[in-house]
Amino acid sequence: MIVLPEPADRSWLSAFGAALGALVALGSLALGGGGQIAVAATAATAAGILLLLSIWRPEVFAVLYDLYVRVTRRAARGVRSIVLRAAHATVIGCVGLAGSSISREKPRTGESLWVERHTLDPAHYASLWDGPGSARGGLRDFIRWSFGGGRVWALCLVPFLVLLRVSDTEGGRAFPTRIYTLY
Amino acid sequence: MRSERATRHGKMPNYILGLSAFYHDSAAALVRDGEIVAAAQEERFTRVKHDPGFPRNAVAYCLAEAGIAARDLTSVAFYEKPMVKFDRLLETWLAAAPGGFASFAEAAPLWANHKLDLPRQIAQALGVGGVETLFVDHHEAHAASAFFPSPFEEAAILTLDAVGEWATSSIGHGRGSGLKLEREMRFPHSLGMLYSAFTYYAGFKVNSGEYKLMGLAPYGTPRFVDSILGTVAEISEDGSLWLEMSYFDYCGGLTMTSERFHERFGGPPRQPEATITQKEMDLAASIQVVCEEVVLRAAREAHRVTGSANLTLAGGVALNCVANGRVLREGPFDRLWIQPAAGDAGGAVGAALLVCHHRMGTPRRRVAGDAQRGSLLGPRFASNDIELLLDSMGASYERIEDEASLLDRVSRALADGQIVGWFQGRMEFGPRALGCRSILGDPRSLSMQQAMNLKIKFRESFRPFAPCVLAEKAHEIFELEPGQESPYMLLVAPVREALRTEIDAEARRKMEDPDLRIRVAVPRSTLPAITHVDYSARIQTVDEVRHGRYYRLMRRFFEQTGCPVVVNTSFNIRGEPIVGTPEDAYRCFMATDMDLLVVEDFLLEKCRQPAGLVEDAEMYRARYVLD
Repeated sequence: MIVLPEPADRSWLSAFGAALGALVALGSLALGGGGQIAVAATAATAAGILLLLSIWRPEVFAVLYDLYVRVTRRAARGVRSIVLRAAHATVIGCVGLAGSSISREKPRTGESLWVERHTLDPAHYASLWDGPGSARGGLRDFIRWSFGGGRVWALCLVPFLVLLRVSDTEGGRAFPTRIYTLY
Repeated sequence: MRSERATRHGKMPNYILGLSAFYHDSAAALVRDGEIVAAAQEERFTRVKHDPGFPRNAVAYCLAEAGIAARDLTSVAFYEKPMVKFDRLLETWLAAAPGGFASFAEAAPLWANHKLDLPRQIAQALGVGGVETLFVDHHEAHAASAFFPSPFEEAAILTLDAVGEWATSSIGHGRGSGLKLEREMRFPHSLGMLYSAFTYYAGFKVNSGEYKLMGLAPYGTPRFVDSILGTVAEISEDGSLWLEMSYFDYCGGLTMTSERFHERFGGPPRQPEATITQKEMDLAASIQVVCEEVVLRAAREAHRVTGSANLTLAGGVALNCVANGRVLREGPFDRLWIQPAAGDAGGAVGAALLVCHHRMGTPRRRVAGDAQRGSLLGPRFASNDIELLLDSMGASYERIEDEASLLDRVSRALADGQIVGWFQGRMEFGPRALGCRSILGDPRSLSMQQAMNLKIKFRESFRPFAPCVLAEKAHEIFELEPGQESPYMLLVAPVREALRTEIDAEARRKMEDPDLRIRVAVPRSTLPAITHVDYSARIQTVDEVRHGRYYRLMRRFFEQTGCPVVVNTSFNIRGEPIVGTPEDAYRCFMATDMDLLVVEDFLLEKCRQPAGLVEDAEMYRARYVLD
C-alpha cells in the first residue's frame, strides 16, 4: 500500500510526520558519515523538530499529507494502468491464442444445451473452489488453485496481481458500475 | 463437521450465517438449526439501493435478532465459489482476447485486491477469527433457497438467473433434507443475460430495471420474436437456450449489446429517461414472450427429469411473475412455490440452509404453510422506541393501542381516498413490500394511480400498482382457483371478466396514445389502480396467519366498503431503498404527499405535523440515484 487513507485522522498525520522525521534523520546520518557535519547537524535538528511536531502538533502535516496522497494516488493509477495493459497483452493475449473453454458453437438441431452436473460435495465447501482444500484466501490459494486445477498458465498472472495490490488506490472496495457479469 | 455443540448448560444450537455480497443486493441471513431466524438486505440500512458492499449492518441485525455474538456462529456460508467464478472470468477474457481489455481493466483490480482475499475480508468484517467460513455453489444456494423453505416434502427445483460461477440455470430435485442438482446450462448462454440485454437496450438499468421491462410488455405487440429466435437466440424443446454471442457485448465490453444487435433491432439503445416509444414496448413484449417460452419449456424439462408434481423456483428470472403465472396455469406441475427473495439476496438464505442440512446434517423440519414466515424476516421496532423517536423529532402523533380503533381510522382514511404509509412488524426480505413497509390506497379510485405515482413516488409510471387481496376473496376478483395463494406477490393473474369495464371509443383512442400515462389511466376494471392494460394484476394474497394486523386492516376495509382489495406499493420514492426504520418512514412521509402514516400503534396525520419538519421534496429526491 503506497497510498495513505484519506481523509487523514490525527494518528495518520502523526505517523506521517514521524516517518518524515525518520527519513530526514536517516539522511542526516548519511550526511554525517560523508563528512558534511554542518549539513548533517542541520538535518538532525530538522528531524528532531519534525518528530516533536508529529507528537505535539501533527495537524501541521495536513497540507503535505494531502499533497503526498494526491501524488501517490496519481502514480498508483498510472502503475495500475500499465500493469493491467501488460497483463492483458502478455498473459491473456498469449494464452487466448490457444482458445478458451467458452462454448459459442451453435448446437446441432435437436441438441440440448443442458449438461449433466453433480451436486457439490459438502466436504468441499471449505475451499474457494469446487475441490478439496481450505480457504485462507490471498495469493497462496490462487497458486494452489492454479496448480490443482490444471491452470498453470494462470501463475503468470501472479506478479501482475501483486503489483495490482501494491498500487491499489481504493482499499480494494471499488465495485465496478459499468460492467454486468465480469466481476 | 459439527452437528451440535455442547455448552455448560447443554446443547448449543448451530447458527449458520449466510452471506450474499460483493456483486449486487448484498444480504445476510441467520439460520438456527434449520430455522430461518432473520434475513435482511444491506441496502435497507445503508440507504444505497442494491448496495454491493459487505452486509455489516444486516449481519449485526441478524446476530442481534438471535441474541448472539459473531463468536457464537457455527459457520459462515458465502453464496458462491470465488475461484470457480474467477475461472469463468479468466476463460471469458481468453475468449475475448486480444479484445476485452475494458472489462479486464474494470474487474481485475477488484479481484486482485478484494475478491481473492474473501476469507480474510469476511473474518475482518465480522471482527472475529476462528469461525469456519464455507463457500457453496451459487446455483445450489439458489436451489436451497427455493426448496428448503418450501411447503413440499419433495419437489423439482428450477433455478434461472444471469450467471453464478459457470451455471446460468439448473434443474434439480429436492427430497426431505437433501437436494441434488442434475442439469445445468452454462455461461454465456443465459436467459437472465438475454432478458437483461433487452432491459439495457430499452434504456433501463441492468440488474434493477428488468421488472419495468416486464411491466412495459403488455403495451406492445411481440413483433420482434422472429428477429430474436433462430438468429439472436435459439430455444430447444427442453428449454435450453443458445445465444449468438456476436449480438452481445457482455463478455468483453462494457455494454450488454453489440453493434450487430443494434443494427438488427433498428438503432442504438434508448437513452435512460428518454421517451419510451412503441419500439421499446414491442421489444418488451417480444422478449417477454421468449422468456415465458423458455421458462415454460424448462419447467416441463424439470418435470420430465424429476417426475415431481411440485416445482420450486429461484434465481432472478423467478421474479418474472408473468412467466410464473404461465408456469402455474400451463405447466405440468400441480403446485408451485417461489422463493420471495429469488435474486442474489436470497442466496444468503440458501447458502445458510445448504450448510445446515447438507454439511451439518440437521434434519429439515417442515412447517405449516412454508418456512419463509411470510418473508417477514427483518427488524421490528418496539412501541416505546418509536414513541421516543417521534418525541425527539417533534412529530405530532396519536398513540392508539386499541387495534380495532386504529384499523377503523385507517380503513376510513383509505376509503376516503387518502394515501397511507403503513409500517408494521418485521421488515420484508426480498424486493417486494408485502404489507409491512407499504404505501396503501383505495384501488377503486380513478385518480389513485396518478396521485401515487406523481405525488408519492415522484415518477411518471406506465405500470399500475399491485393489489393486495384478502386470500379468501382472491378467486372472486382474479382468475385464480379457490385456495390458490400468492403471498409473496410473485404471480400475475387476470382480473375476472365480470369486473372489467367496457372500453368506449374515447377510451380506445386514448389507448393508442403514444403517452403511456394516458394509456394506463384508461380504467380497465372497477379496480382501475391495479389493473394493467391487458387486465392482468400482480397479486399478493393476504391471510391472517402470515400477515396479522395487515389482514385485519384489509378485512375492516372490506367490511366498510365491500372491496377486498387495497393498492400496495413499496414504502419509498423512486431510487430509494424501501424504508427500514420508523425514522426512514417519517422522513419519506414528510417529503411526499402521503396523508397518513401508521407506525405500529402510532398514527400521524400530515396536516398536523409541524411545518418545520416538512422535508423538501426536491432535496429528498436528490439523495437517490434514479433506478
